[in-house]
Amino acid sequence: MEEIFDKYVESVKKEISLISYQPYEVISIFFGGGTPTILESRQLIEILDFCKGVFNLRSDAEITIEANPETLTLDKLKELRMGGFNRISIGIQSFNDRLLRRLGRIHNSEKACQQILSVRDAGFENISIDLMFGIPDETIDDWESDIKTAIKLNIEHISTYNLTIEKGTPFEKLYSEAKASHYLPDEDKQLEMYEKGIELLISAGYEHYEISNFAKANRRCLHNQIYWRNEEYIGIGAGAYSYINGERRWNEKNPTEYTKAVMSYELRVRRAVLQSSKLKAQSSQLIAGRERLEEKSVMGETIMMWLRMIDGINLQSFKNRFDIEIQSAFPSAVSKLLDKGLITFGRPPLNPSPLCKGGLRGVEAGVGRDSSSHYDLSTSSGGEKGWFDNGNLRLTHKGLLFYNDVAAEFLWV
Amino acid sequence: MNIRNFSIIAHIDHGKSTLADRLIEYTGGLSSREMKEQVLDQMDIERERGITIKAQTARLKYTGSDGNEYIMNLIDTPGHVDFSYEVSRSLAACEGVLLVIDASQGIEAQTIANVHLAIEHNLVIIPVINKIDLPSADPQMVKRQIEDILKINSKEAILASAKEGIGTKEILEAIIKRIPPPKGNKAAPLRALIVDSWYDLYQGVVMLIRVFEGGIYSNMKMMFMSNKKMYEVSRIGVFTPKDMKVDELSAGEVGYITAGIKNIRDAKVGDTITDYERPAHIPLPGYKDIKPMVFSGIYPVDSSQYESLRDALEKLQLNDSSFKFEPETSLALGFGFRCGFLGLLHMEIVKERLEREFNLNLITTAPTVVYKIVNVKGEVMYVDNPSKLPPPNHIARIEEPYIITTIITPDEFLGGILKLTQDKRGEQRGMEYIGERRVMVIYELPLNEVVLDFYDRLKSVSKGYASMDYEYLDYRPSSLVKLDILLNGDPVDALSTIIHSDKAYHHGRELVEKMKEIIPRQMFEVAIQASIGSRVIARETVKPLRKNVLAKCYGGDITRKRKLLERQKEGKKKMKQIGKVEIPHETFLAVLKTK
Repeated sequence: MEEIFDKYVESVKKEISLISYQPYEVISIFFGGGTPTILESRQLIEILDFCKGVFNLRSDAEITIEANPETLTLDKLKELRMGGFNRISIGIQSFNDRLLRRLGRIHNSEKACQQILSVRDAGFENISIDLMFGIPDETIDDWESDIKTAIKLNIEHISTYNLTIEKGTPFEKLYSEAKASHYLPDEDKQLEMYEKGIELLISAGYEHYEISNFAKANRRCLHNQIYWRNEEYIGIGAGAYSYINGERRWNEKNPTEYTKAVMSYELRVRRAVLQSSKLKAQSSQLIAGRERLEEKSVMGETIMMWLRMIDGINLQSFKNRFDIEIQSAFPSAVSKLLDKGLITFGRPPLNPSPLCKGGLRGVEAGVGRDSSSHYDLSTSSGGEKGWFDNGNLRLTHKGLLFYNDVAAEFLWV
Repeated sequence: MNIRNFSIIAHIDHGKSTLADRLIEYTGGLSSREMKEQVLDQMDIERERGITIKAQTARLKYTGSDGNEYIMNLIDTPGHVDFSYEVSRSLAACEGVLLVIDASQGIEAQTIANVHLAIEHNLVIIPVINKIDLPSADPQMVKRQIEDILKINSKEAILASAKEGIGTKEILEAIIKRIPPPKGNKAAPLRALIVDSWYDLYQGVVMLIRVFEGGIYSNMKMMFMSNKKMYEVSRIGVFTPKDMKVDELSAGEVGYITAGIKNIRDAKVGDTITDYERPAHIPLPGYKDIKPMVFSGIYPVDSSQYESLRDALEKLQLNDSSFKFEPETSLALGFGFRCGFLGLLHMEIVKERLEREFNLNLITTAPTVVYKIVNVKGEVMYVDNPSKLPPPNHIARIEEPYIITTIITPDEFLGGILKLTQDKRGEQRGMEYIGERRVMVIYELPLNEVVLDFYDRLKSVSKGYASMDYEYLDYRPSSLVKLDILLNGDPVDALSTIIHSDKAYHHGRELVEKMKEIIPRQMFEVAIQASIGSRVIARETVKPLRKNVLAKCYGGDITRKRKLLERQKEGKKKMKQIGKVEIPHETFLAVLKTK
């Protein structure tokens, strides 16, 4: 087993070395994929060090490691922290033993809390956790208590996900059966949970900055914001996705195949790489797929991602990037969505709104159902005249709940 | 020249086209390489469905056992009740018919209807009992039916199997011996009947004609007796069934002509062609003008296809004069056309051809009949679209068309059929056994009950064994109401129906329930109501969708999530927007699917 992991680490390093150009300033490194902590800390640090050698890494870069509570010890955490990781993202899911069992997790809530304390002890000052709602059998009170636990633990960053039963998963089998379906909280309940979470977290001083994400001041996830602005990133390792020079591509998924492809790569195409000095299609085996979109589709996709951010799309940045104003590129979508009250133009509310009952950022999404007065204020400020001065195009509270419908308007089908 | 003009008439699937194939093959009209099955059925749809829609002809050469050479003109006829008027057209050009009856099924509804048509035209009838090779064949039973029901001497019947080629020679001999040669003075001024006409891309209008008197030849100046328009004959020919040019056609002959005619409306089926220089004085009897019985709205799903739809309809009409259309607009569906058809099958075929041959994506509204409205001032108007019905307080009475229908069925299904006809407001006019275990029932029925799903239900209660044919009868006053469907208070014109008041409540109830299943949840509540005038008789609610949001979307997910949203959008694009409500196309068919 160990040998396989070592080989894999070698492959990852080799892939990094293949990307032997440095036109970018790297601001974030994210060790993801669920449970990278299955590797030993020395291996993880080895990869990180190798990155530092190859890339132009900014001094204050965000370096995150994803972790599963079941794979962490205090020693390992300390090593990782000392090795340079400054942020950790833990898939806690819930602090409720009953719900954890429903999710098939082997950890319990006590262990989860302890884990977080250990992470703190190890010196991590930037912790992120995932919490899930809409779990079979879950009540509003359960959810409220999970959120409150997270707040009490002073977690810097919280992602709250509505459990969705995806096709082809064991969950689907379990819950598509009618007898089990009544365990699932219905749509109204799920919505209530979502809004309750927003309300509690904003009151506790968190920014609601993306549909499912909350952060304390200056603790937004740098890395994910790159995705949400549809900016470029390099993915390394089996199954990793990259988005470079307008091309999206993905690596071979199977780790053994991936390792083989990377290892055999150098001999065959080394010269080609030297000649092009660009990150190009080097090996058909290493790159499992690629996609290049037309400009219009890139715009649509960018809007789709960027609208997930509560602040919305900065109109000036959009224009700088695509050389066209968003409402000139998508006139009918914009007017239709404005009409339906799903989007609004407006300056991102940097100061707490007096009408918002406790948020640092007075985004209307943060105030739940009693937001009507605030909502009116924000739409009236985004009228026809002077929209551009107002800076951003963003989802209204209703738009947030119907994000899919809004985003789809900008896609070219 | 020895000429015989004849048609083949039969109930659907009794083997008419196969027999035509065999006759053509036997007389050498086509080499075996050219012999495709059912050569006379030209359109794909005809061949796929195994039915003949348009009449076709074939000139066959046959040397009889008397040593003489004969020219036999086979004029094929359509095989479906919707097209009985076309049968009638073909028969007007003949002196006799082959009546094909399936040896195991015996006489069916259309057999009787066709025999009536043949008798009306004074034609010699030669019964042919077909498919005698099948194990289930019972020629004796069929002979008895021929005697008892058709009142024809069964000794005249020929036993045959068109599939196996049994009886082909006997049939050809019987045609020579029993069907009289055409009469008609070759020296008299030209009188030729237009049996059919269609538009050919290269030749212009092609007319299938039967010359009754005089003769027609190339370069002759000819004239239509109805509109006095003059044209010069450019090409004369016959189908063998291959196209073969001839110099002239004289009294008794059947063939086609072209005359550089661009507009098919000038060459009206049933009109008489005469000699411009030496015109006849009295036209041939011609045909009754056929009126569409069933109407439906046809709309493009994508409004940008409106012009293409119009072009397609015009092109179809060139070869199908019985099909009518005119522009109409619907609040719900936008711009489209109200189309008139001879019957439901005709409607289905037209729709299928539009979609298949012209690549259009269409919404069809529920079919409706033509109602006769007498208003309070005593004025009469005809309404073929429920949304055009005047307000109730302007209407003195509504009349609906009735048909008389003949149904033939094995007696084990009689109970189900009687119940069905009763459900459909039918009145029995007769019932008799026609041979062992087979019953013929005659009913008067409102056409409006028949156009929706009568065929399908008849087939299902009889496991496919019952056959039916109908004839238009008259208009009768009836207690009819307009049933409207409202979405969030807005009436959807394309979903309105005219229905008997006894059935309105049940139908309305069923319709809104069906629609509730079909209409997806929207961002707001959708109320579906059925109403008669201002009275709501049924209501269902589609609960609002509370949220539609992807919880997660990160780097590796973007392509997949984008595609997911694109699929959602594609699904929505296929919906029609009624006010603020988006509804799928199937909603418009829901009307058809309720009982």
